[in-house]
Amino acid sequence: MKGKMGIYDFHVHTTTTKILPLLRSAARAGISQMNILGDVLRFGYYPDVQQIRQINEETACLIKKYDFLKGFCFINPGLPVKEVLREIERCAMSGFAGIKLEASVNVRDSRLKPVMQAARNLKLIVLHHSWYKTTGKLPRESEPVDLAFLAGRFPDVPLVVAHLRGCGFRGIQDLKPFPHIYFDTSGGQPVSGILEYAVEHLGPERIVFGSDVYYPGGRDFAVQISCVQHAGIKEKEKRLILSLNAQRLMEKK
Amino acid sequence: MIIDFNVHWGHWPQALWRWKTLRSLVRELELLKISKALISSLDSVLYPDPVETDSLLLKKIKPFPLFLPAGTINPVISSWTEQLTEKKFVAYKLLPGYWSCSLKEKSVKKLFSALEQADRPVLLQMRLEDERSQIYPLQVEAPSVDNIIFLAKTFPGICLVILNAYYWEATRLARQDNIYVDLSFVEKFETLNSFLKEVPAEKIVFGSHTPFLYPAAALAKVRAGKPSVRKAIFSGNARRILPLD
Repeated sequence: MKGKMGIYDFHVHTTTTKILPLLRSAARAGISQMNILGDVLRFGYYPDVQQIRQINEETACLIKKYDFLKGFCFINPGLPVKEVLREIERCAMSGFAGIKLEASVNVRDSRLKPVMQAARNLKLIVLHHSWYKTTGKLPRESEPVDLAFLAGRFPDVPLVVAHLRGCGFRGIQDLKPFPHIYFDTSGGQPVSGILEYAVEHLGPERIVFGSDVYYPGGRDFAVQISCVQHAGIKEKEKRLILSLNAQRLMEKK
Repeated sequence: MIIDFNVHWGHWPQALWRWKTLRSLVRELELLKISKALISSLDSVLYPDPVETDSLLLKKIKPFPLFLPAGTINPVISSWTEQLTEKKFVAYKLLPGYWSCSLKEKSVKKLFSALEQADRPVLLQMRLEDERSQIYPLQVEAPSVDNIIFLAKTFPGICLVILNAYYWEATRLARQDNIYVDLSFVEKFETLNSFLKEVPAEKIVFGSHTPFLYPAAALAKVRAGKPSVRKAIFSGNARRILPLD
């Protein structure tokens, strides 16, 4: 699993700290590095301070044990700001590389401001869930157009928007004007054509591979990787997406 | 040999697929060693008379022996009798969600009674797109799993192949003797191994749902299996179901 030349998976969740089967499966798929984002759905969309801490403690335990894993600190910006900032600082001190935001608060909410400021000060990457949904949209879920609003306010904070295939063609156009915004490739079924469109309109440098594997339940590394390997794009663009862009982004950090 | 049960061609709203021509699609399938593919017309899903659009599909695919045509049968349009009379198709496909058609309707019963004589498998497409990403004017509810099971029990002589079922739907449906499923919309951590804990390989056929999805993604799921499992899913089960001779 160790090594820097394999695939970098920017988007992995686990519900447990017993992850040997996950690591073996990733290694078989050619993944050598991954970001662990925590079990962000364990307590629903509005976890409290203790629950957030519990999730992040598990991530901390994993990144301490395996040096090829990077941790992202899961945050609910709807909690008291002091608690939110304390948790971000605590995670940064433990070597976390970024902040993971889900759907607790829409990004247009002013409570995102201290989170983004902390990301800037502590040099953390922000990875934010986003999707254009026809059905099943959560009350505070952020769409790409909301992320564009956030991107405009914080042009100096590197932001990775999760779920390229969920954001779709419209999401790509929404975020095209913001060069500091990246997409990860995950998002539902292995739909063809969206990655090709993103490479054409954003350039391959703004896309990182993300499987959204939710161990032990959801998504399959091999399936998610095949969406990049068999996309109608150039080989050098595939290398950028599968590995080099994530390496560069993490090094910048 | 790989036989794909789930390939489409035609126009579809909001689609910017990777393959712009039928020839480029054939090239991709051949590269991936898919040697036969059941293809149906997407135009037949929304066009008022599938007989016409299916005829166009038959003409288009003629130069490509890789394709085996699947005729689209809409039980609420009475021209379906023509589709059954001529043995041009190796299978018949239904998309009840797109026709607001309950599987308990009289017209469906009448159709299935006729299909019993047709000696062809029936492909039932649960959905074409993830409901979350369907466009607003084309939000479609999938047929009910209970109704499909009812239909399978009522017509035990018909082989039903369910395409694009989600994991929980596919595991329930595959318990019926005369129901097979594909894995195109089934995804879990280590998909195939998870699925095989609930469904035997003999009830799974290979379906890629191309061009909506990357066919390589469907192959990746099956290639994780043992050789005997791969053989059953890629072609063994299909040979039992399809009139390939």
